[in-house]
Amino acid sequence: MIFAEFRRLVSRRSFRLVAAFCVFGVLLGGVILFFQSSHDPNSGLKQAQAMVAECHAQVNAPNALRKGPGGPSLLIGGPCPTVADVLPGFDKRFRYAESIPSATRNIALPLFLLAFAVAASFVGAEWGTGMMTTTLTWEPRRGRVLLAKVIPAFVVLGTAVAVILAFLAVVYFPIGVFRGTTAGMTGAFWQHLSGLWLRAGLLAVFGAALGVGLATLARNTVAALGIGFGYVAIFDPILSHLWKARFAPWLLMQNFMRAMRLPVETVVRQSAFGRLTTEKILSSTRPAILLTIYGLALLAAAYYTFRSRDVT
Amino acid sequence: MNAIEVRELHKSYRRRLRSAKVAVDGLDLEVPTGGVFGFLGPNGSGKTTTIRCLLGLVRPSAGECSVLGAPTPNDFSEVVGRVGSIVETPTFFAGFSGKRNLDLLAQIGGVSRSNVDAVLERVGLGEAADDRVRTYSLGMKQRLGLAAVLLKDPELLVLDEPANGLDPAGLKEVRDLLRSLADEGRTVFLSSHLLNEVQMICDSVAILAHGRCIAQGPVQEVLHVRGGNAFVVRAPKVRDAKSALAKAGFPSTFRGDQSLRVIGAPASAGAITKALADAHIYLTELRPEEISLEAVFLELTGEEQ
Repeated sequence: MIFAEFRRLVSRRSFRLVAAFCVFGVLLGGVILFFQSSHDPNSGLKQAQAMVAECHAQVNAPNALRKGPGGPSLLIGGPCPTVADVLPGFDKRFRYAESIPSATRNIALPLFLLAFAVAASFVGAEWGTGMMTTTLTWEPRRGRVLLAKVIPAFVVLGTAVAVILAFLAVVYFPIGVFRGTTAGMTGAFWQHLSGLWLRAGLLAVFGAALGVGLATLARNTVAALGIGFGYVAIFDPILSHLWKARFAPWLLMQNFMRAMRLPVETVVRQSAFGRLTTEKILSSTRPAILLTIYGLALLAAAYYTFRSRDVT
Repeated sequence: MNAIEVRELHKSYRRRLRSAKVAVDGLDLEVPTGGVFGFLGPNGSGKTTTIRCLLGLVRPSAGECSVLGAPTPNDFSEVVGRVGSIVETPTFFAGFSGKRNLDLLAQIGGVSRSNVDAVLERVGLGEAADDRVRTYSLGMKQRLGLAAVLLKDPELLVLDEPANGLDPAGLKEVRDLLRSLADEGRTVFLSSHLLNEVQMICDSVAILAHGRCIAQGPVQEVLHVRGGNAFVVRAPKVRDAKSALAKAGFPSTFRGDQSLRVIGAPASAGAITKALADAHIYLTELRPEEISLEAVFLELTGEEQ
């Protein structure tokens, strides 16, 4: 039965559309980035020079910024910067080793939401069409039926997200070579990047758990999506802003963001006597545990409901 | 052993802010192995709920059901491979072809996928096998439902309104198919509103009203309970014939086609002939009145209401 559900999931139009959309998005982004970036380290030199010249022009202009009796030294922000200072800001080189991990972290959230939506649609469609009745007349053991949906959703969506992120890294590599720099691509970089893919994949699995769980509880795709996106767009932001200190560590989105950070985070603390100490904390362990508990709790509730409710 | 046994089945659905709705109210049912069993009842009489209880989709509030000897819903999984079923309108994934839907079901049920083409041909969907279900008519979906049922090569077929949406030719095909399945020794449990169809193919029937069984048994027995005590008499002078029969103790009523419906026991045919002959009226037709299942059904369910 699990294999049948695997086949069904990958044959679904929604899954294929989302996958195609992601691949297209990565390719389009690559093309745009390719034309916007430059291999020349001095590609932004003219813009940097223009900025510095404009600053000097403003300082030297009659009556410009002379607000007090002290004269021109009252410039807010100090004297004008040099070209060397501002040049990095205009550098058009694509810095592969810096940009890819950052892009991976940023893309993980949309991919998590897509994994949630595809999983919700995967289960919700079966309820919506009434196909669940047919399925249960072929396999009446409901635990097996639910498990046969959970496993393919986890494996397919988790893998798909990791593969899309790996695809992003592959597609953008030539941009780093021809229109930027690949400096910094050490073994540690690849270890870090593959860790991010793994984490994004696991977060997609969590998204799939939420999608399957909510669609099983609601017996409907639209309701599951409404609850999910309503939480992300309304409930989570309101709660985290109203009771930030108390509830934020328990909310989904903050834990999601923390789970995508580096595994080890260095925090500088000041003691009561003014002594500074550095402390390394594991930033992703607690969110990972919390999200796992949330996912399992939702699936347990879905299973209990699915098992006990009539299918009419 | 009976294919299906139901004892004191009760099922009520809770409703918000209203009293519970009783769908099945103490139903007893025995479906013998082999043959076609008709399961009749007006809308809302509890047929589909009973079928859902039998298939483990709905938990009974009280009572017991067993299918092929296995108590449901708890042990239904033991016999599910031997039971093919359609509940209401067959539902499939609209975006997949008929063939792919059956392929997936075969994989779910651990049935050989090599049978898919054969069953699609058998129900007349061979040419439309690769079309998306979304493009199927209601009749084609019914045929696909039957194909899904046949895929398991089941001993027992539980079919809820399988002829819905079929054209006359389709009706005949399904009727022949079900009859042939029964002749192969399978049990067909058929819920239907098409009483003429049921009368043509069923060996036994049960009639439900308000969640209870009000008649059950072989079709001829059920018909004889309510029929078999009237004759149709045709004669040249129908009014004179009516008064002659009344004098002889046979009450009658006019039928629309210049004939009389005469109340009398099956053995009174001779006495009716004699009464008319004595009045110099010579009948042109005398036959026992045929009672249709539809008439019995309407009479029984009407009484219940």
